[in-house]
Amino acid sequence: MFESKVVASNAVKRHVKVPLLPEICILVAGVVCFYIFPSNLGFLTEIVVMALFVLSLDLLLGYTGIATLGQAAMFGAGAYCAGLFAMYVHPDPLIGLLVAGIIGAGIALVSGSFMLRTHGLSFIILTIAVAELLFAAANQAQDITGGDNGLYGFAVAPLFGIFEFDFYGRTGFFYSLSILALAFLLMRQLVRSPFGLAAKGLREDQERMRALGYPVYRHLMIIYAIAGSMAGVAGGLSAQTVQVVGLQSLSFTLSAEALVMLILGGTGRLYGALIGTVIFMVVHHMAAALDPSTWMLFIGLLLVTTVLFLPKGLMQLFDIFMAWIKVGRRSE
Amino acid sequence: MNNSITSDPLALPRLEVSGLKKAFGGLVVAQNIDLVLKAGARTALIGPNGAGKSTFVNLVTGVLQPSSGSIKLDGEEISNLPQSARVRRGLVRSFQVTRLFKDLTVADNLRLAILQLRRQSFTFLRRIEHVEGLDAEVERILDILGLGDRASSEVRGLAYGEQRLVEIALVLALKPRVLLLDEPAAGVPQSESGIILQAVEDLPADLAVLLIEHDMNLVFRFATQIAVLVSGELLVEGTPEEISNNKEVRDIYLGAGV
Amino acid sequence: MIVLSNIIVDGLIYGILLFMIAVGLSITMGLMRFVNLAHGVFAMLGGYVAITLISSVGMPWVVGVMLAVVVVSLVSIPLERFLISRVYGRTALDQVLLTIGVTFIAIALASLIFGTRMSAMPLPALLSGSMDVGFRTMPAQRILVLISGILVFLSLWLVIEKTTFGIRLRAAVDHPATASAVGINTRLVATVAFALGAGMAALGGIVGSSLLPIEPYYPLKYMVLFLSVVAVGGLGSLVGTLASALTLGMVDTATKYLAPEYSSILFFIAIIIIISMRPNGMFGRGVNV
Repeated sequence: MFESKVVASNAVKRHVKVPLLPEICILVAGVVCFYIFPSNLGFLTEIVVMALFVLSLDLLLGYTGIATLGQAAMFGAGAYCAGLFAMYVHPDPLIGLLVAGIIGAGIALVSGSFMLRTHGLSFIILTIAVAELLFAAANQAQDITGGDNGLYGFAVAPLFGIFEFDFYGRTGFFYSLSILALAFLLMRQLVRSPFGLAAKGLREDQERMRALGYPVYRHLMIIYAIAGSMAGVAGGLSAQTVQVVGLQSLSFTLSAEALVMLILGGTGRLYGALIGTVIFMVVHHMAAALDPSTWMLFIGLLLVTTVLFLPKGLMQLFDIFMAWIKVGRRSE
Repeated sequence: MNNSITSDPLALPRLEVSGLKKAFGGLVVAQNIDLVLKAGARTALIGPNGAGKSTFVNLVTGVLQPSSGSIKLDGEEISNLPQSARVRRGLVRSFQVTRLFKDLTVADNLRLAILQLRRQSFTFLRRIEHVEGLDAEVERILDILGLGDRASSEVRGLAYGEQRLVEIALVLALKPRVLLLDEPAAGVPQSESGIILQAVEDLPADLAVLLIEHDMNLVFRFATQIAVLVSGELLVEGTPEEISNNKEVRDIYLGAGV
Repeated sequence: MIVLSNIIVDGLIYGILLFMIAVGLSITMGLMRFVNLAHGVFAMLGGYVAITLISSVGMPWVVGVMLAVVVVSLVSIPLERFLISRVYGRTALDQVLLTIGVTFIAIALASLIFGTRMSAMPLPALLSGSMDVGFRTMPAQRILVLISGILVFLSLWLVIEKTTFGIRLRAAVDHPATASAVGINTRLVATVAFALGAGMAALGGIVGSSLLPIEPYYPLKYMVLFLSVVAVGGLGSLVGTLASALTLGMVDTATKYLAPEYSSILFFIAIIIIISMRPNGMFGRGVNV
């Protein structure tokens, strides 16, 4: 009875089921951009990498309600590890990415083991403090990380031994785009799975989840590790495609900017993370002529207005618009 | 070891609380509490405001650690287990004020409970609609409580009485062995309280139920045994008749106009 | 031995400074359960206003400092009324985002107006030298920090323990529901406490500028430091905040003396350990906002 109702409501919305539609959209959009902006591939790759990073944040913040200000810890760790791995161990990009993902998950598990037992202010401070600790450590270990100058001079082998990472960044772009599409598919499966529903339950009320018998801490740890590995992979991609890793990849500013992108697009919807990233990065790119202070002023104002007027992000404007159209149609 | 014993479920207590005590520093908030619930028990725990009813619930469910005393579920000591582990063994509570997942649908609320019961919450890549038998179970429980047509509504949008029913549905979905039912009808308008009382009366017959309640009408309608808690101590326990004739209880508690 | 006494003395002074800056944060967070990442803005603003009044306008030092404190308090009132108060009761995330926004705006404006370098605080002759304090000499500015910190603590203590405002404040922190039931205007108390806290942070920012130099990134650079003082001290607790500020001041100073190269690494490790072990604060009540 209930299942038939669900089917019925889907029929009303006239959902045409195309498997992998969102992922196909991402790839098509990527290919279109590739042909429209052939000279901006570096920037496009940067957007794709950031989108992956913001997606990892959405899993924590949007789906599980874990408000972290230190997601850059996993991104930066992944980036440095991918760079160092290519430099000293093996230049293969996919193995490097795997290592970056493992490192991201590892840092998430280690830091999560004590952070996820705390709440509120203590949790927020700990997320910042862990990222700052890694930042300070990377800054200190100049012999390994290059410190302020950044880590560079590592070469990445051709993808599958065939596609070289060319000067124009074609390989880098399609490589990152494919990883993003894959991650998006995994995330989409994840949030619709029983595990994803449990995450939403944790977002709503952790105490009640405990009273339903859920091992809350274990769930949080696994989610944190998954998001950490995604952030690590994003960092690894960044290192492999840009071929430089800087200290800013561990910075508070990066964590905060990712947060801005996410809330711009709207938390708790996967495509919100993508749209928010694209808008933010494009605006940032166009405002490159501005000095950094003016840009910071802009982000600050954006944050304040979003929190006050559009708590569900820019996508809320879209929702309002759609509701308005519906009302219009009904009145016709 | 207790499989052989619980095969005769009526003989063995499902929940056995003895000598329970809780003190914060020098302040004793609960002591000398002994209580036994067998299969099919319909016991009410009553007591004036501040008597320690919530403390008792928190001690039994594991939100608070007792200072001394023991809590046994099906003969096994559980007072060192965390809250969620006690739930997984069948000790379940409902909440006085509904604590539901308000932004989720009624069906998703129930799915959460059922997934936990079946230990399927760590299923990562299968769509929830494709988990076998899940939605059939959701439907079955909702139909028992007459909530069948609410499955895809967000809890937020339901009337308060309906929300209380969902709370009971959530508890039922966990298939508990012992249920601590905390004021199931609190705050429900008169017009809707009938369905709640019906739901309470329709609870599975062999479930051990402890009703924590203020409303004496509900207590006398529902309970076959009443325990009276005063100032953190168990004053007396008996049948409704014994309790209503007990002078001490009348003085302390029922004297207030019941 | 000398190192130890240096750590204790310098740590004490640093701790007192942290107390001055963070105590307002602790009180307002305790009052409104509000996560404020922007509190350092007031300390920085105090510094810039004082520098401007003394160097550019040419006011006498004491007048400039006092006026700067008043100005920051006054500026904080509309900020609390029209901006901050709109996210009271919202999720911690909203509060975090809004206050990061405010921090970024403040950093940007400070860079645009005063430039991105550190700004030097003008000092009267009395404060620019060193003083002999028996076993060693010490910059006179640090003695000023010590004296101001003690004065701030004592006057706060008097206000909280002895005035009707203090009674209302304590009631509103400890039993918010009861407080509003007996007719205490919690919103007004919150605004006044916010302004007081901002003023104290400004004073701390000014007198402590030799320890925490005034620059646009000030609010971001010391964000974790100030928040940690509050988290370790427990929300809304005067004595807890003092104890926590002194502890963290000592810890930070000790790392700087003993392992200067690794001081920030060690300090963050210390913070992480302390907060993980005692997430509800070492000295006060819970901080689960």
